[in-house]
Amino acid sequence: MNPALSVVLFTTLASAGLGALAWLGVDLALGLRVVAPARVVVVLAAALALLAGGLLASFWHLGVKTRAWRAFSQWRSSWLSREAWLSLFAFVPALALGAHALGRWPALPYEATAVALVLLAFATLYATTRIYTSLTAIPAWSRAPVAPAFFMLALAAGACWTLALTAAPANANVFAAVVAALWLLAAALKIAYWRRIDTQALPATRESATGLGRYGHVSVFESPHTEANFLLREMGYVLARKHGKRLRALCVGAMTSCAVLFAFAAARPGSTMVVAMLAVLPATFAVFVERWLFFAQARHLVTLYYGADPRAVADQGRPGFASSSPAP
Amino acid sequence: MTMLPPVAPVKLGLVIDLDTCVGCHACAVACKQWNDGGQFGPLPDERAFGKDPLGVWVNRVHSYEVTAPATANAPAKHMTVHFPRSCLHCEVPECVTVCPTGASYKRASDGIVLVDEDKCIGCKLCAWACPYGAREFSEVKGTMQKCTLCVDRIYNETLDAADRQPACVQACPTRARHFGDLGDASSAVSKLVAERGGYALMPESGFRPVNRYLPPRPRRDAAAAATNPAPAPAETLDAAKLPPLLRWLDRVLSR
Ligand code: SF4
Ligand code: SF4
Repeated sequence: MNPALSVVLFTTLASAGLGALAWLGVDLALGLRVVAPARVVVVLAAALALLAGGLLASFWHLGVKTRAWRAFSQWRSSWLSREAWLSLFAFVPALALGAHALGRWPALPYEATAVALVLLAFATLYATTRIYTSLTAIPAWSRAPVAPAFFMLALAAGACWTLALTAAPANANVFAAVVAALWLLAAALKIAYWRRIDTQALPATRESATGLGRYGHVSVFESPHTEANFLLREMGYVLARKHGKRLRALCVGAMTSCAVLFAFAAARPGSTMVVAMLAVLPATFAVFVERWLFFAQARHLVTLYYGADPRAVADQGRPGFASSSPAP
Repeated sequence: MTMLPPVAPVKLGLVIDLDTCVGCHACAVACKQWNDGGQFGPLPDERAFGKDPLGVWVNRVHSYEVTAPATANAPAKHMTVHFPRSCLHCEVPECVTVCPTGASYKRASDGIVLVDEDKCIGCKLCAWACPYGAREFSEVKGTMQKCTLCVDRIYNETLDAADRQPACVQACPTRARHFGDLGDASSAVSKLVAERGGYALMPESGFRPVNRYLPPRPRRDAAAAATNPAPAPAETLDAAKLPPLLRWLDRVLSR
């Protein structure tokens, strides 16, 4: 799949924002005071800015931007529509908590509002994962580690932003240790995901796609068009395996360095803010690269019609797909 | 409305005969021509005369080589199959349910899957959802394009009854394309499918395509025919059936 910058940016930014909102909600609901009361507004503002930035990036992806409002209409069937609603809903408790923190709304039942914020942040993240996991045509995306990895990364990246904006957090050592563990878990889930997509064949073949398997092996004789088309650009995007490996290594490296940084912070609670500030860069980089690879390495079933090799990437012994392949 | 309508008894669709298709691309050209000017047009191109032209075609003709591996007493057999690919108007199309705007919909009355271009925001999610590559996005229009089953022809009362067929079906010089109601077991297309063993593409998608493909008939075995030519049919002439002048000529020449 084509890793469109707008979509990669959207999920990178919005998921970090939602992760930060979820943490803040948990913190306020349980009264943990990881985020000092005076800092609540700052963290809220940053999280909402990330979320809004992400939504703006997704808006930039649309072909007809003036009709974006129509995306709210099909919440009964479409996860994209549900995500649109939920992401807007998440602003409501966030803004209410902001007003409360600024002393404008003292009567706000803020524990309940904080719980609502957590639920909406999670629901929005869930809707985003469902957009991808429900696409039959892109089998890689319905692999089991996709949704958990998405949640872990959102929470881990959100925690970086939260801590980076919080001076003198309470319970900082526990929180930092949890975040370090989340980064390691996220890295493990991504490695598991990559292993799966590398070792599993597409669930269909050129033979079943064309129905000609009864006569033998099917290969491309002539392409339907001499130039590129939308399908080849959008769905047929194939990454050179050489780069894929390097990018995966960089991604895991960045995640691990975040884990190491937070493990250090757990040992020295006084340092959390500085450490988290240092971690924001590798954290954002890791999520961005992860999202980019998530698209670039996902194979779409339509590529079979153009001659894609349905075998597992690990079994192909060559990058991507060629226009035809030798009979097995 | 992107909820799927209740399953309609009418399932309009195409039946494509892979035995007779010669890969001339006439259907693809006729499709492009009609849909560029029909109710849903234009079907725009980008840089049509530039170095790397890019355009929307909602019917594409692939050509495949099908190879039956060699066995102990026969060499490998090769066959070329031309394979038109367009929207299959699936019964359970994810391209419809994923659409956030309601632009992508399936008609309850005849099962045709359409895009309402006045609602489409061009998010491309439906194209991601289609395993058959039936949807192409137009950068020029910012909206998604797809086969309409020529809904602006098949019900068009300003056309002669004989012309109320999809443009591709009319254009095909070998009559490899047939249009009709696949929900009606007694329709001509349903009978054709039953008779020729028509099949759906990639049934494991679970989308339940309506369109059917008719498999190529077994080809004459060229190698066997060369080594073992069939005897030419004997020529017979029944002089009694000839007109009188030719009968006389026959008698004269037979002497
Ligand atoms: S072929 Fe693709 S575009 Fe057509 S109905 Fe099926 S899923 Fe939708
Ligand atoms: S591109 Fe248009 S028709 Fe397709 S899902 Fe998006 S809004 Fe719906």
